[in-house]
Amino acid sequence: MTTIRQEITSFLDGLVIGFLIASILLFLLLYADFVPAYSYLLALLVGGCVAGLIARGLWKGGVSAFFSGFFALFLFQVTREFLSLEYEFSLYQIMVGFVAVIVGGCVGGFLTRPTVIVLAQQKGEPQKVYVCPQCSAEIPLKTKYCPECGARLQKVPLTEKIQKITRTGGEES
Amino acid sequence: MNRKLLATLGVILIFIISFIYITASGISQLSNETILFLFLDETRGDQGTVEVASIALFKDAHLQGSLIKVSPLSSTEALKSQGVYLSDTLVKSSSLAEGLQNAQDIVETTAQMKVDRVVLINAVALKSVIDAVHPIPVDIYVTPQVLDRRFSFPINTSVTGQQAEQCIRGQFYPGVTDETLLSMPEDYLWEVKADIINSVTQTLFDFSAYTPEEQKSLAHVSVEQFRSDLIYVHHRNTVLTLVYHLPESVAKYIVNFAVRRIA
Repeated sequence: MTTIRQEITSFLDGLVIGFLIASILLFLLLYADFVPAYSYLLALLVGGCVAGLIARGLWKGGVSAFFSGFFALFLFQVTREFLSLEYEFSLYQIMVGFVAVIVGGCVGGFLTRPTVIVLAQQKGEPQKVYVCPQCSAEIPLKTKYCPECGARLQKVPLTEKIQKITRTGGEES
Repeated sequence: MNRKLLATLGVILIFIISFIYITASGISQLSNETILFLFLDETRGDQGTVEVASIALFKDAHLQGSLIKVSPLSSTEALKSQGVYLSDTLVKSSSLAEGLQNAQDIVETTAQMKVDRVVLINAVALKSVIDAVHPIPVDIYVTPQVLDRRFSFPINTSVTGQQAEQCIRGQFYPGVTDETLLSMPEDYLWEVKADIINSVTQTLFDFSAYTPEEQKSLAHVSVEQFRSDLIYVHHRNTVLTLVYHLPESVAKYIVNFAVRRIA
């Protein structure tokens, strides 16, 4: 439950922060007339990348970045009239913008994808388990006396005993 | 951490949008006004003699028709009794504000129109601005009326910054022959001077005729002249105040944005 909640939170965080960064860059670069034909792509790419970095994961980053780019472009289209930012994006430019923001999101998401921790198994022989002849307690450590009843332990470990039983079929020789 | 980051970014975005809105609305206000340009000669070390006075009517950031010239020897009845004419309004006043108010009154009375803003342009400032966008072509027909005689001659030339400066000071009239100048009484030469300077100013305001590099250069030179008070705007609005007080690099971005918007 907590994991799903964390996933949703990181997705929404990525979306909102990506949107804010894309919008800030979009307005600033177009206001400063920083190569207008490409500056919007740069703004969307960076915004998307940030969204992906925060959302974590390839698909999650891509989707989060797409929505942040969509909202950034929407805000720009709504406000450009009264802000006198006379840049009109063609359908082609908008499509290229979406590609840029998704690419940014996927790259960001891929870089911070959740890593699967695989615990390496200890190599070597399995640990020998001893059995107390008195109380039948299983003793993992090699000790002289049983910690349960205090009887002196046999030197034959349980694993060897099991192997012996397997070989003989349980009949004592 | 995320909430702090969100709040900070949100504030930055709102600040940027507000800043763009303030500059855009300020530019919009300026581009729908009637502006009086007073071209000054300050060579004598005084506050400046008004050599050329021109009224520009702007609508939607574009100049409506030609600039209207006003004689520097015009005055109102009240000011005439004090010996104050448009040319010496700044010299014969106790403060710059009073001089500008007198100049505005004279022009409003003479031209019968309301002036929203007064801009003082020093001859040196005009030279710098023209130099930023190469020589300005002038192709006009001047028809000054001298008593009962009407002169009529064409002026077809390119005016450099230095020539414009000399023209304001009455030292050189580009495109006008010496014979024509000698045949005209000195008191009427202001009309020739005003026609040349008005034509140059009109061409300067046609930002669409310039390349983006020239527009940028024009914006930067204008900011430098404005901040050094060689171009003085009386009653600055918000955007002009920002341009005057903000760091020069930011001011240049604002003016560059204004030039692009008007173009």
